[in-house]
Amino acid sequence: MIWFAWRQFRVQALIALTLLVALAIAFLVTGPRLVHTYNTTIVGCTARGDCNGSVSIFLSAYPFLQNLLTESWLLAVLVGIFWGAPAVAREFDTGTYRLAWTQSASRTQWLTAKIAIGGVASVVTAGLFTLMATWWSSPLDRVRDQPFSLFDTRDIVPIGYALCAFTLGVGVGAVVRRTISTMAVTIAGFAAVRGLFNFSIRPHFAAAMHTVFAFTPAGNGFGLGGNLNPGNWMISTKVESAAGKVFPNLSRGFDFQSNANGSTTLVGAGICPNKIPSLSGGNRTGMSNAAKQCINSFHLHELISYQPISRYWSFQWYELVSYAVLSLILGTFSVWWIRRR
Amino acid sequence: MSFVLETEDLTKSYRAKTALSNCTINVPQGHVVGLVGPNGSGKSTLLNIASGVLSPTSGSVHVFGSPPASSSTQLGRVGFVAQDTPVYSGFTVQDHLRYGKHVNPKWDDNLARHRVEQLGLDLGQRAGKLSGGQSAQLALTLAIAKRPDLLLLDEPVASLDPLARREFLQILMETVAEHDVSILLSSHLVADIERVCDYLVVLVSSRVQVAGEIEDLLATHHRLIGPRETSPPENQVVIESSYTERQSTLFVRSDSPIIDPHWTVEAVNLEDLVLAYMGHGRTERGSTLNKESA
Repeated sequence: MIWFAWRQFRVQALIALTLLVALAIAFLVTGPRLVHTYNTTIVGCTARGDCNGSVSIFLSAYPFLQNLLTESWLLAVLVGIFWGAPAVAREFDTGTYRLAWTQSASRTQWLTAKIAIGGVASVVTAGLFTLMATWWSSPLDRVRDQPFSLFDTRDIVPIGYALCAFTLGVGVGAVVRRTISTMAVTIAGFAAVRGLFNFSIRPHFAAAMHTVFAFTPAGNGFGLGGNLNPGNWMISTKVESAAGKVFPNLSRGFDFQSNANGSTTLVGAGICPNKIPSLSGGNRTGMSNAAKQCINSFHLHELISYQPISRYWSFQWYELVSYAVLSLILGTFSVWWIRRR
Repeated sequence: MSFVLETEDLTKSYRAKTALSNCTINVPQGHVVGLVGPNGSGKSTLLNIASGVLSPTSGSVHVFGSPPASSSTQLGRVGFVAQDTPVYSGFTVQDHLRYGKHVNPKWDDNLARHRVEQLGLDLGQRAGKLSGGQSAQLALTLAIAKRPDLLLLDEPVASLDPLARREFLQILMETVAEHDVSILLSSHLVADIERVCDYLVVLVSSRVQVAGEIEDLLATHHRLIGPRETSPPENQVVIESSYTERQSTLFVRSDSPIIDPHWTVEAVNLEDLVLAYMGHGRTERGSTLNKESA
């Protein structure tokens, strides 16, 4: 059966291998140049502390390859629709399932072999892809220093993505039985799963950490940066008064509104006791002080929840394992579904 | 008589429609059985259930005494050539033989290779590029080379041209002669059945209208022509009757010779027989429906 599954899969495997080789060549040509630029430009300017221009030039290198890697969850979608979806659905389209299911080897063996070959191929392909992608973009990522922003396109998570998209395609194909519809449902399904993980599951792999910054008039804002590592993953920020009242509109900035009676409203919070002089008088300092006084009167502080950068790797593993378990469930479901027909 | 296939009240329904309802049928061993019936009579569903591809909604089905596809041995005993004779279009002929060998412990590789050679199929040819007749032959080769005890064929020649059809049936008959295999073949073409089968089952709306060895059936069915007002002879089962102003034509089943001077007795052929029973099945169903609505 493994021979049969491999024979069916051969062409698809060859196409994937060709694409991986093409990508490897592109990476091998451009990768060392990135490293070179990093070593010659970025290291030096970081030491001198005058990096502004150089960094943005460096980060805009090879935009095509970079975009490809930023959206590299697309790899999983390709695996899902071109490997997973046709695995079972195409046999229904062409009627060959009736040939396959009436041999002495059972349909359970038939499907298990397909899932095994396709699953291993998905893991290997995604593994090689993410290995290359992570290696190639490592100088860029070091400059960005925000690993959570590229969480599902680097390191080991893409392997879980590909395996899950493949088994999703197989499972949907077993139920839907038409290749084209299966492809569409697989894309939608995978997008839904990914969305669920990104917004509802990943932030809760571990209880978020919290920190509170009081409003500091001198700094014209909350806290003075510094205390939080920019690589941390911000989950939420909210502004509260001393009494615990939340001002949802204030977390994005302060907006003042002059009232007809001469008072001032801090939008999202309330009316200030003082009036803020208009800028037309040229009294910039007076205006600024009045604004700070207004904000102070609400006794505001900012609450931040975040996942620290130190959790990056444990989160990678949690996510990989979650997707692997999901794949196992989908695979088991497919076999169960096909058996009961 | 021992049966290769026995079903009782076999039913397969989908959400919107019923493909087979309460079908009870016994297929005897050692025959080439032709299963005839109009479109939608449930032939294909019955064969797909017997081969284990479909599982029934209710009722029982036994092939050699066990439920279909219940074990590897069971799967090995039944060969199935499905409708439109599916093969893997990306596989070569050689790949198909290799596949058959991998998934069937009883695979007869010599038989398969010999047959492919006889058919003049190129081993390196992709199945997708074979003609309809050739891919049907390839599908048959796969089904035969696994050395089944029962071979099920679902309208195997429906899409073939007359020449390919004759060749296909020829090979099928050779197989029966060479190996001890029972065959159940569905078709709506009586000519095909006549050529290869020795046992007939007429299925209309999931009901067996008649079943028996073709020779016996032809010997016990007659067409009677007589005057309009005469009552039919005794001990006859009238399957179908038609009337003109002056005379009646009756299609009857009779186990004893008919000696009645009022009636002229004519022999019938297989086509007459099949058509009479199909018509019979339709009216029977019609009257049942009327009763239900009344």
